[in-house]
Amino acid sequence: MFEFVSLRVDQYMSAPPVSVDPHTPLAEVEQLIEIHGFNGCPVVDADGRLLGMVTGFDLIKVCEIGPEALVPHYGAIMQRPVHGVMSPVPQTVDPELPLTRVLQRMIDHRITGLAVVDSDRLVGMITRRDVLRALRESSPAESSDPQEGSPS
Amino acid sequence: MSTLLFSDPVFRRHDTSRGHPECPERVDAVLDALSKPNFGALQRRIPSPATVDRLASVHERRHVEAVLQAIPAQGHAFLDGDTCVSPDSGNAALCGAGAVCEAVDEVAQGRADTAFCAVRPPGHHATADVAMGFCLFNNAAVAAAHALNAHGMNRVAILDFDVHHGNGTQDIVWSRPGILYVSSHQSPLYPGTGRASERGGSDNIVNMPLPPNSGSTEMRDAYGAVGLPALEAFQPDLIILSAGFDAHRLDPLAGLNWTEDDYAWLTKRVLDIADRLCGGRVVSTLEGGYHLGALGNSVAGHVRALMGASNSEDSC
Ligand SMILES: [Zn+2]
Repeated sequence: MFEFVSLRVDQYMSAPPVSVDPHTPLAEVEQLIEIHGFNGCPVVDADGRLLGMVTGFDLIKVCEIGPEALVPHYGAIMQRPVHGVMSPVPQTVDPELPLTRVLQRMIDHRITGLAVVDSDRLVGMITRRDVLRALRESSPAESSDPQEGSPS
Repeated sequence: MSTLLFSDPVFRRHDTSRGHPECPERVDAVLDALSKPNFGALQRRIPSPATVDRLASVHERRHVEAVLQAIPAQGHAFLDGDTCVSPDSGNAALCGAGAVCEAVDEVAQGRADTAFCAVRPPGHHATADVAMGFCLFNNAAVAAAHALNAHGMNRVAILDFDVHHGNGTQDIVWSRPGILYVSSHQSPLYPGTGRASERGGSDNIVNMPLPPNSGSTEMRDAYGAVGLPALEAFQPDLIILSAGFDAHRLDPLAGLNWTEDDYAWLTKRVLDIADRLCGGRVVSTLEGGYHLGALGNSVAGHVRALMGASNSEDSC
């Protein structure tokens, strides 16, 4: 269990991350999210700078029934480019940040994943699953030890 | 202005088991940072171990003996879920307390102005009768008692900027009006003590809990409004620093966001007060700090300030 506290984001993030450019149609984004089981997908410019994130929530929200149509015109909506739909990224993490701090941020902000950014460039994504994997892999001995917690 | 650096290979040999954050590499990170040319003026010293009698000035004697008896001849033993000892741990702990006491001797007798003790294990969680939180003996409290007993001082202040509250130091200082304990720490966090309402038997404890995710601004505000005025009002004859560097923004065990500059800033403010009130006498001892890079850089700023801000090229 002690090992977990020395683990850093860059040891457990997915890299290079799947990302899209700002002109990608929403249909393509939806497919990516479907295939990879992502909660969201980062949007980057030609230089790899992070512009925003598009999530399943963003895709649902753009189909909301509004004053301009009686039903959501799904086919037409999915042809729109992602840059008009993506959300700004309120916080990113450094590759060298300890995973203990990522875990705390996921709790504090109820977020499933964070973009990893190194001098403005997107270099990875770190998710709840990655943090759980790090916890699991850093404590194999304890989880299988029936003596755990008994005084020595 | 002369500054001593106490270190000993035994601090590296305190083996806390694989992957433990309070690891021997912490001492390497500190000493590497202090091996740069601008630390050439540091006078390096190797400490002698403290005696059981000396530790018994703040710890219960049977506790000291029990801790030393719990040290295994080989392998590891856990004193609690976090606190691991191995064959050299007893020696390291005795030398750690010895280092801080010797630093007090040197500074009290005017042979040095300031000192930094690069010791392991840390001390501030060790209460009068419990070893916990990576700590065996309370180095800072032992040294404060030594300054009062052996050097005829009347008032010694301990300022603790480790991110965790020094419950052990508070426990020992509570009913000792000759010692002031000032602590900044994240709250909530281990070990759960350190509310501002905990003020000691004679208002000699000043706790400054800081909220998670807070950083330089909150820290400087707290010290400016509460911690430093309390230190000044106490009119200490000597200031001992429980110097933990785990409030740094990269530290894995806590959630504050201090920077290297914050440590240098705080150290300079303390030195200013020491210069005005007690001939500049400041003894600092290492507590926590678990991100090795951040630890090295933060200690460098801290020790540069101990060596005299006026000689330093940087100003914060
Ligand atoms: Zn600490």
